[in-house]
Amino acid sequence: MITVWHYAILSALLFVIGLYGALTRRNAISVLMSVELMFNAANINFVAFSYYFKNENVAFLAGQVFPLFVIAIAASEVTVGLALALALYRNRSVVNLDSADILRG
Amino acid sequence: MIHPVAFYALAAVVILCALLVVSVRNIFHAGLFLIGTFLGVAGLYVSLQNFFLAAVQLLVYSGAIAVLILFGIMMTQRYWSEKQPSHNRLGIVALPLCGGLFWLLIQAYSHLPQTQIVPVMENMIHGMGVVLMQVYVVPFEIISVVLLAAMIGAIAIGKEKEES
Repeated sequence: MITVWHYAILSALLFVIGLYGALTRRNAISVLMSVELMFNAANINFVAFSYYFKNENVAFLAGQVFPLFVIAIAASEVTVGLALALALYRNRSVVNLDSADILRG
Repeated sequence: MIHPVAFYALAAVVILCALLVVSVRNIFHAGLFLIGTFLGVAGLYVSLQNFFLAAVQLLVYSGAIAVLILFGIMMTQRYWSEKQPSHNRLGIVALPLCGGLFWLLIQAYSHLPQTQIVPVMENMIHGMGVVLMQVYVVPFEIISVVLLAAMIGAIAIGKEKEES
């Protein structure tokens, strides 16, 4: 029997994997991909936990609708992040985050 | 209702692809595994009875965002540096941190009530549209402004500087 708990554990695992990638990857685009994993984990949580409110229509549908906002924010985040990565590549010829030290005194 | 075998298969696909995304050396392969993760998550949305969100996930994530990321990878990997390490040295710190967070989340989730995933309403897409245009109409409009701002910002950052 699959309950909300299973989805919660799955999304926790996905979030932790994304966090690990965001902390340890050197390439800026790899970090962006790890952040996408974390967004997906949050979305699964939204949809799964809304089943606790299945008797209240608006609260249930709020959980089902909210991932749409997250997806829109993720799309704009990737757009700006890739523009930053390309700008970094033009300046440094690499997209490694430890080479982004232009502001270091 | 979802069959346990289907759920565990989808979960295995999602977790396996996610692990490969953060661990594989070749960043282009990582991007391809990211698409696998997105497809698995779309399957999870289907198992959660939300078919519209599954379609949006397929279109926006594994369509647009994945293409954007692969495009960015191809634009920025001119010199394929096999000798450079793909991970920094934070792994010894990050691994216990992530493990501890996961343990904490498991502890927090251990008291969740046992609620099964059952079909709630006949016409969920209709309900989602009504909620989106009545209760959440202001965030819905603000999101369009955010998207416009992100588009202008991406153009402004990505544009070559003109020497005047």
